[in-house]
Amino acid sequence: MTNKDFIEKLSRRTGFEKDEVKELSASLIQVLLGEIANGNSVTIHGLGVFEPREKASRKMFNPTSKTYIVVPPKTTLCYKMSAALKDKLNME
Amino acid sequence: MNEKLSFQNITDALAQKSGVSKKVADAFCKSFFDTVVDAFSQGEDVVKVKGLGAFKLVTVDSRESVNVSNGERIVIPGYKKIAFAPEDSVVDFLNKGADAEQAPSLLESDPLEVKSVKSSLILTEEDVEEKDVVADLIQVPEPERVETPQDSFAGIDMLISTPESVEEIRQQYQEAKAKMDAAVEEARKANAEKLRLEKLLERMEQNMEPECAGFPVADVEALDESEKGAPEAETNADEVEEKKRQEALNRVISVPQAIDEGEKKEESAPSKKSGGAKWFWIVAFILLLLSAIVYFLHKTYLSIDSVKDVEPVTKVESKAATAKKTARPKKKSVVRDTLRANTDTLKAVVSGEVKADSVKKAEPEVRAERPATHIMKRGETLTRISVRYYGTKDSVRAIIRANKFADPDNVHVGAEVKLP
Repeated sequence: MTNKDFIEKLSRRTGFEKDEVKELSASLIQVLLGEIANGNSVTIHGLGVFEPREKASRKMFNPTSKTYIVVPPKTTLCYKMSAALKDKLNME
Repeated sequence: MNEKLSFQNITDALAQKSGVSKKVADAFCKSFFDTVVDAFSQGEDVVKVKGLGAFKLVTVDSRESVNVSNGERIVIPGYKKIAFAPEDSVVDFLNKGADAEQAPSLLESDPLEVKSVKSSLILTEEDVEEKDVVADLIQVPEPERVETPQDSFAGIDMLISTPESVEEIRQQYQEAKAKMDAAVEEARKANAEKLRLEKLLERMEQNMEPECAGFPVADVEALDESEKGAPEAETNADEVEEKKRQEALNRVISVPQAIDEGEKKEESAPSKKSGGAKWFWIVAFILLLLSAIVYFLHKTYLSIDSVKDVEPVTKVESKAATAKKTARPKKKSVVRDTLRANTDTLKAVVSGEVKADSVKKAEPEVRAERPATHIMKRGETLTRISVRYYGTKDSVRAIIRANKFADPDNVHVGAEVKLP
C-alpha cells in the first residue's frame, strides 16, 4: 500500500478531506518524531513501540577500493511490534 | 529524555500543535494507527507512510533449536511479524536533532522548570519548531546554536566579499578567456586549411583531366598511402604534382567529407581512377541494402501487422522476403499459442477453475501423496525433499534420523530415502 492509498483509506475512515488528512498526519508524524528526537520512546497500543536507537560507529569495507571506511554513529528510529499485534497476525 | 510516552501524550501534543480539539486529535491518531494494522489484516504486504517509513510484513521461518535446560531439540514455529524501515529523511532528522537535543535538557535542569511529562512535551514541541526554522535557532539564547548557521553562511560570504578571492576569480576568468580565444583561433586555422585543401583538390582534378589516363602505379601507391592523415597529405602535395593527384584520390577514399567531392571525381577522373570510386559506391549500395534488410527483419519481429504490410518490393529484397517467410509461421504459431493460453486462462478465471486447480495441485505436492520411500535423483537435496513432502525444511533432521545415512551431506543418486 502506497502513501496515496494510505491517505485515501484514512480520509474515508475519518471523514476528513484528503488535504486535511495529509496535513494532520504530517503534524502527527512531526510530533512523533519530535518525541523520538528527544530520546523518548512512544508506545502505541495495538501497534507497538517506536523508540530511538543508537547505532555505534563501525568500520565498513569497500571491496572495490579495498579500503575501510568508518561509518559515524547515528540514531535511528526503531519499531517493535506489540504482542497483541503479533497474536492478531498469527491467528490463522 | 528517555521517557516512555503513551498514546495520550501524542494526541495531546497533536491537538496543541494543529489546533484541533483533543477529541478529534484522539480519533485521528487512533484511525491513523488502526489503518496501518488493518491494512495488514486485509492482506497487504507493505504500508508506506510518507515522512515516517515503510511497514513491511515479514514471515519468519520455523527453525529448530535446543532447549538449554534439558538439551532437547525443539521446533520454534514460524510466525509473521511487521518490520519497519524508517525513511532516510527521518534518520537525517534524528541525527540533526542530536545537536538540538541538548536544548530541552539544559532548560530542564533549570530549577524553575517542573520535571513532568507535560512540560517535557511542551518543550519538545517548541524544540520541533526550533529545528524547522533557522531563524528560531538564532533566537535561542545559546552561543553554540547561534554560531552554527553563521559559520555556514560565513564560508560563502568569504568567497564573495574578500578582495583576494575576487582577484582569483578574475584571474581564472581571464585564463579561461585566453583558452577560449586560443581554441577559436585553432578552429579558424583548421577551417582555413580545410578550405585551402578543397581548393587544391579542385585544381588537381582540373589538372588531372588531360593527363592522368596512364597512372596505374599511382593508384596502388594511393591505396598504400590512404592511411596517412590530412596534414601530412598537405606537405606532400607541395612537393610533386603527381603525388597531389594520388592524395586527391586518397581523400576520396579515406576522408568521409569526400562524398561530395566524389561526385566531381566520377565526372572528371579517368576510367581507372573512377573505378575505385565506383567500388566505393557499390560497397555503399550493398551496405545500404543490408541495413534495409536488417531494418525489415527487425520490423517483422517487432509487430505482426508490419509483416503483413511489408511486402517484397524489389528483387534484391527477395532475400529479406524469404527470411520473413521463415519468421512468419513461427510468429503466428507463437501468437496462436499465447492466444489459446489467454483464452484458456480467461475461461478458467470466469469459472473459478484457476483457484481450484492451483489448490489441488499445490496440496498433494505438500501433503496428500507421501510415499514411504523416495529414490534420490540427480541434483536433489534432502532439504528439497523435506520441503516437497512436508512443506517445511525443518523435517530434514527427522529424515536424517530415520535413515541413518553414512554421510547425510553426501547421499548418492538412487539411494532410497525413508520418509518418516
